[in-house]
Amino acid sequence: MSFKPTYLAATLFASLALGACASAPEKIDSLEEARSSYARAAADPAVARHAPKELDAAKAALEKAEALHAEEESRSDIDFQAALASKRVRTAETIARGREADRRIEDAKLDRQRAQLELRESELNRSKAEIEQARREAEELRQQLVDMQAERTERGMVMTLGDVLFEVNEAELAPGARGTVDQIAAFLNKYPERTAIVEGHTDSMGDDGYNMDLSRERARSVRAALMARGVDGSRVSTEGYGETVPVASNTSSAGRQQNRRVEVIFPDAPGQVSALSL
Amino acid sequence: MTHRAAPFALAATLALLTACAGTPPPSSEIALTDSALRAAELAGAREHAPIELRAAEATKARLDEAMAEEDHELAARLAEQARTEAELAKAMAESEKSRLALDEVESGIRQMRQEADRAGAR
Repeated sequence: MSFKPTYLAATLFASLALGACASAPEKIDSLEEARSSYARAAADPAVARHAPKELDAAKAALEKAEALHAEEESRSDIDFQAALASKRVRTAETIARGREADRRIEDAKLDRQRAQLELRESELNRSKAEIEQARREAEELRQQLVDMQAERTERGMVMTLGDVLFEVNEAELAPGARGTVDQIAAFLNKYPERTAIVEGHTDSMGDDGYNMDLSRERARSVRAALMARGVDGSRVSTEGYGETVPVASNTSSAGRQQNRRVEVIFPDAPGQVSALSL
Repeated sequence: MTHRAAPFALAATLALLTACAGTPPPSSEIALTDSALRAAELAGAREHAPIELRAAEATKARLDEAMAEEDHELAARLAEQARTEAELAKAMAESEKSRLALDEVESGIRQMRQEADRAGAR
């Protein structure tokens, strides 16, 4: 089929004429804005879900503005109605935003519960670690006392310094006592919350008063030796019992030797994991 | 003016009066506007949406003027505008309150997580 320029010209002319007749609708900014904001809101699923009533109201207002426009009503009437439509769109969008925030609050509350659980769990783990640490320290302490050949009694751990560690009939510590005293001082320096009670005892030979004095003096010299090694004197108390608390019979020399002694007692500190309980 | 013209003048005057009386005072619209303004205030718009509330109140003031001047047609339009603006203010206030509540909950969670992290790190 051949192309006929005359038809083309006629068609062009006709369409131009038609275009001119259908006077191009005047572009009104307020209406354009109302249309585009309504389209945006209508496409937003949150608005459709949370503010359907408000979206309908916005649509009705926009349709009213469109009708005024179609009927070529006054510009101010159209502007007024378009502005109302835009405000209704904003209302719908605002309500939707609020409801979304409400929904996220519910989610956040679940998150908060989870976070609370996590916090509690980590606190629990921490206390477990602390308990384990305390248990280890107590075990270490017990081992130290065992190494020092301390014995477990109901008063706490008790370490006995035998007669041979003192000069005969003297309160002075013999040179051989140095190692034992070093051990006790090191222990007290390592566990600053522990205290010690030093108690002196003698056998039944000799004068009671002399024995009392000797036992007291021997206890004091142990305390002095500990203080010389950096232990605060307030942590070490002393007592002399003379011959009143024998641990063996005074009738044999072996028994009397057992009775001549100084005992260092480490009371179980209150509130601590007891070395005794291990 | 001739005597024959008099009836026409009378008719014209009547027609004019009828036109004026044609728009009755928009009482029910004004009542709706008033309750929308109250609802906005109750929702906390004074604090959370002050600009929008003031706009609604300004329109309401213009409405009152129009009523004083017995311009009922303008009054009806302003009533609708003020109501729309009051509803927007109410929505803004409620949305803002929700947002603040969300912020609070979220920052609480952040704090708790930080605490949990610190506790875990110890």
